[in-house]
Amino acid sequence: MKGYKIFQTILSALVLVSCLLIIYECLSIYLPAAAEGKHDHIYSAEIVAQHFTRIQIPVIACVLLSIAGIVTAPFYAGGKKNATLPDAENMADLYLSKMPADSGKDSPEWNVVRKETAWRRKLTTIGVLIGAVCICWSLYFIIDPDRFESLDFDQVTGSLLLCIIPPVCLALVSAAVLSYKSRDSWARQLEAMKIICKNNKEKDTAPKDTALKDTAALRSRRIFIARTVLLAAAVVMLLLGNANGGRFDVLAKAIAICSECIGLG
Amino acid sequence: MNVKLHALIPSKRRFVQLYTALLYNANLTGFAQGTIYQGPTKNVCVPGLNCYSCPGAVGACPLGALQNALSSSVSRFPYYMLGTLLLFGTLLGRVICGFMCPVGLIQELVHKIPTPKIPKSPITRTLSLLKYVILVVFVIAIPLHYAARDIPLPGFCKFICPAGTSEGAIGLLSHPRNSNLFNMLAILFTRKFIILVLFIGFSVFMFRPFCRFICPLGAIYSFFNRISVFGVRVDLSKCTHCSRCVRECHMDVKEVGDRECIQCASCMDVCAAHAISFKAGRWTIMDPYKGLSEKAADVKDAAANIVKRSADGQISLAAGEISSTKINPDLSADPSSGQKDQ
Repeated sequence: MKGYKIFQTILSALVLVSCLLIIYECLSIYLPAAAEGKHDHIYSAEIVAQHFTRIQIPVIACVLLSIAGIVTAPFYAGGKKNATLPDAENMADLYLSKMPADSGKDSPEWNVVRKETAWRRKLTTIGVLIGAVCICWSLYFIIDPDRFESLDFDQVTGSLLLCIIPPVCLALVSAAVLSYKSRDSWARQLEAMKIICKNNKEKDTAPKDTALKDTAALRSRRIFIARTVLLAAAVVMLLLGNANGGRFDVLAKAIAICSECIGLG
Repeated sequence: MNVKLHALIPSKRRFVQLYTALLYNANLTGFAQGTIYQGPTKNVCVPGLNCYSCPGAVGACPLGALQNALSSSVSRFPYYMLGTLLLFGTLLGRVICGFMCPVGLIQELVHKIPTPKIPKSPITRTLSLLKYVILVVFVIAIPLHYAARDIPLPGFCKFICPAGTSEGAIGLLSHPRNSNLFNMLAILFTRKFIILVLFIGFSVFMFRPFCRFICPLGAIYSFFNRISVFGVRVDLSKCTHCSRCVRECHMDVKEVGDRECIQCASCMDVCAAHAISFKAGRWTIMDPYKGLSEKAADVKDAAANIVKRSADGQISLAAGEISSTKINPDLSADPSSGQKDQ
């Protein structure tokens, strides 16, 4: 088993090295040409073949080792189910969602939970607000393109990314703080919620079952109505789209090579 | 069959994924000729993310077609694409992501490479909201904005989409007939190619990173996940809230069937309470334990009957003769031993 872990580590390193080499070779084709001010005739089948021949040994080794690893994995990993690591935060969240709404809230265990969740909510709100700022900031530029220095598509994208990166970094920091704060809390939350859930289970469960059935029936009825309305709307929209020529727009676009999709621009 | 050898056989879901990928790219002559299909089926969108510039593609990409429709929305309201997405979403929801998406299949196959994996965490869960930002900015805002200036610009296809690079660009460029296309490649292709390599690299260490963090099509279908006709359902009367389904799931789900659930039904096998099944409306399509619960109850009743009758002196347990009660020996097996490969 120790040998298999070493194999996994080597394979990981090989995958990373292969990816980095491919990216490096790609950039080594593009950057010198871009420095010379060339906008086309940068790539050719010969140049690509020449560059990628240089890295073929690690890449082929990576592919072969990966195939060998996939084939032999069940013999070392213990059968088909390669279970993920237990995610304690998920468990705590799940218990939170299953918590009864009307009982156990005055207990000392729940006070601990309340404090922990208050922190998490605050940080989540900050993250969402930063995300909203990120979107609004992008829209601010998109709505009035004169705010861009140039209308060249590449420059527009670059400017947009520059605008979005700071709030995205802030959002990631907020996510990291959220993760750090909830790192130690999950065990306490889980214990508290287990106690509360156990206490509630000991009470009379029969009315709860009836209520559960009623709620489920009501929910399924609502879902049925929503489905019917949406399906009807979809059919009407398809007919309208067929009538106004939208279908032929799709056909016209799809039968031609999409230069944006394949990176021609 | 040996359990370990059995693990090498693809699951039913994998067969569906492979079949769907082949169906989307059924124009195999396109790969040989280096051309794309131009037949009438291309006015219909396929449900999953599959580039329409792939030489094999026989249908349109829903995301590319949506951006194109939004680009021309000044002159024509995009009823057709909205109707298509509404239909796919209401019928299938994210079942499409789990069963019918070639990009998801590629990521899952790459993820099989045995390396240490990055598990899901609150950070990945927060990052899963990024796909909604990409949906709003790249799929809706940029095409709409440039539509007003009469410039068709599919933002997602142009700047991000790895399906376009892997299927469209590499599919076309690998044919000698299209060598002239090489001359036109520049910064855009370089960027997109690097994005593709990064996604493949991440897929080795993370489960479906593109679907979890980036894919706007998954973001659209996630709105329909709770109401879609097809999908995984939890029988709340059986559920014990052990949360094993959530812990075993590789996606950033909080509960089965929420916006992040790709309805792959892997949780069916791990549910000890047999509360999870795959349904289409009211009809059950996949339930590995269907009938086993009833059979187990029958066995329990039969055993109780035997105990009662032995107490009454009607039969002798010591002699081991039970003449009036027939018990199928298979029924006494542990229900969990009847797990089926899905």
